[in-house]
Amino acid sequence: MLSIVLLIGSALALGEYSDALREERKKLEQHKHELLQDLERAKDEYMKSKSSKYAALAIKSLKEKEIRQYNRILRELKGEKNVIRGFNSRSEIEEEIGEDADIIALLRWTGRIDSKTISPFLKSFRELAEDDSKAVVLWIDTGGGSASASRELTEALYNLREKKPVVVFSGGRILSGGYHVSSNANKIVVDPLAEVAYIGVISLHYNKEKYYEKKGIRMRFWKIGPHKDMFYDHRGLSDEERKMREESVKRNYDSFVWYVARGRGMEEEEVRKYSEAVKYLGFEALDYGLVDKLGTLEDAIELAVELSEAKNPAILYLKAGGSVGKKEKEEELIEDEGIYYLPYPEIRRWR
Amino acid sequence: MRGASLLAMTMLLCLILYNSYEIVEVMDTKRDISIIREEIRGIDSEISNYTRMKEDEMEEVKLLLSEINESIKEAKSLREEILSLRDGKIKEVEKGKIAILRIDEDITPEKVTEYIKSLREMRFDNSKAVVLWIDSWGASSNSDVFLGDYIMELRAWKPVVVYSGGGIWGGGYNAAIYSDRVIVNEHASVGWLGPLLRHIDYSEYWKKEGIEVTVFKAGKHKDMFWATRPLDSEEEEMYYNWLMADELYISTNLLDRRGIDLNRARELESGEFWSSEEALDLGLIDELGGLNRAIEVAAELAKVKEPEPIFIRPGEWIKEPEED
Repeated sequence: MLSIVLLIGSALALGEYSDALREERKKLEQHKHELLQDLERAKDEYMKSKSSKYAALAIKSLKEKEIRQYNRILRELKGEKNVIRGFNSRSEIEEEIGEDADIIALLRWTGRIDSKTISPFLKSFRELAEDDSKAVVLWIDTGGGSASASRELTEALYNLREKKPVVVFSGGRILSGGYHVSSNANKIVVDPLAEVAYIGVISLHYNKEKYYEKKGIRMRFWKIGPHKDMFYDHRGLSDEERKMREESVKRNYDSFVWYVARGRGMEEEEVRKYSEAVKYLGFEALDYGLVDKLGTLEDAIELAVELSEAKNPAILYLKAGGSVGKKEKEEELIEDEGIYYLPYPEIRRWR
Repeated sequence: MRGASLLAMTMLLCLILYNSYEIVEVMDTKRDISIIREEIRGIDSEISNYTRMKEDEMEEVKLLLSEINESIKEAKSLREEILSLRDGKIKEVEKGKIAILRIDEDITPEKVTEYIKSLREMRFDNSKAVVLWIDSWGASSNSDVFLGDYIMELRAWKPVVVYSGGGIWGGGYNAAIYSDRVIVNEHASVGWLGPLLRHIDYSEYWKKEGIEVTVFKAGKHKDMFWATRPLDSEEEEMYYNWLMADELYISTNLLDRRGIDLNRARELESGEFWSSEEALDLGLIDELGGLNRAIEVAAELAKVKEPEPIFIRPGEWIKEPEED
């Protein structure tokens, strides 16, 4: 009997104790839950503070560029430094600057790199290599394009660079294929907030088999080779075809890295560090050795003058397909109206 | 009797069982509690770690911001020197050409090359001052900075007045304030300041439509702009980095060129837009008026009594050089 009473007593006490403990556990779990939310907030705030630092570094670099610009302008205003003027034709240069003017060709280029858009530039690069220009400034703004077109253009640019200094300038973007090409110039000058690199290769396959079925669209192919229709969107890819595509992307990627390494005089291993398709802003790219200088177009022109040791420089504005050439060639300047812009992924920053 | 002892035995057994159950439960709960306490200690230290790291970063940010402030001061004094040199060279004339360059819609890298060619060469053409007639709702790919730089290049040689009849928004505004004066029509609007980035992810839509997309890529982030998937945490951070850089550019630009305090400037980056009258009150623009007023102001700054306005096409300038 006594043992029963004792047991009841202990059961009651234990029950109470156990309830209290459970209550404590519940409270602690609640506390942990709140702390986890705090942790998320702390992580988020840390991330934001890192971004604030990134922003501050970017703007510091931008303001330093501005101070360099103002100092140069002051030297120009005080007559301590010559201003390099630009012209639309060679005859204007001869008239204004003189027959002995050292012509710096300024070729502007915006838009996508593909086999159609590069044609006039291939012509320009070939001709500029042989003509009277002392140096070439390429003013580029591109988000990239096709791998094969980028390679063609890079080779043409590299040949040009063997003959005379080539300086690339970008105030906006030299991304992907644009960087592929730019990396093979002698020097790259960009704005501290310009976008650089985005080194990588991508290829997509859309399989709309089910979609066509739903819409009642039937497609028939007449083919002999089993893979001839692999780039169409009416079916999925076989393992063999996947492998082909994967290998092609890998080959293009390796060659991309190789071209950048050759152009920049970097080790491939070094290039690979920055080849995870990250879009760097100019100030970062300078730290990583992906560009040579931060500045405006004027800095690129100045660098071209310096590299070519031009004594009496004048700029000749060229359009796609143009070159400095001989006088009679001027009429051949091709307007870049034929260049069209394909729909391209959301890559631009809007302000 | 037997019944009573059986009952007692059963009760005893039940109580023993119950007690042992409770003992186990108590031990379990105690163990749980100590685990949770341990976890809480872990989380606590993680939080304080992140907080400390954040404070370290913010300390650096503070330092960088004060360096930026110093740079702005230095840039300002250099700019003043440039402008006083320019003004010292301006001679009063009876007649003079005022070039008008129209900058319309969004300022893209494709268009900006033409504008910059004009701004660059107008430094030495036959115009006495330049009116940039801007109606723009934004700039992409850093074009506003680039355009602004060349407005300043030109401004070192001759006065540059910005006029807007329709509106100057976003990047159009960022670039406009690099000029000597910003004059906006009474009926126009100003604003939509602030950075904007967009990421699209079509993956769910494609799934719904029965479209399968296979991505072949080299370079970890290569597909981040291709709408095939949501962003990963590294990419989220990249977007945030760009956003903050753009935000700070805009606010420091307002501080530098309009003398608006940094915190106030950040408030103005709200994406709101204002009537030109409100914009004048906010200190965002200099004057209300039409194109004629802008030409008049440009002529005043260039000390030209009878201005001759000339329209310039993008990429062009007045060919004859300035007579001296």
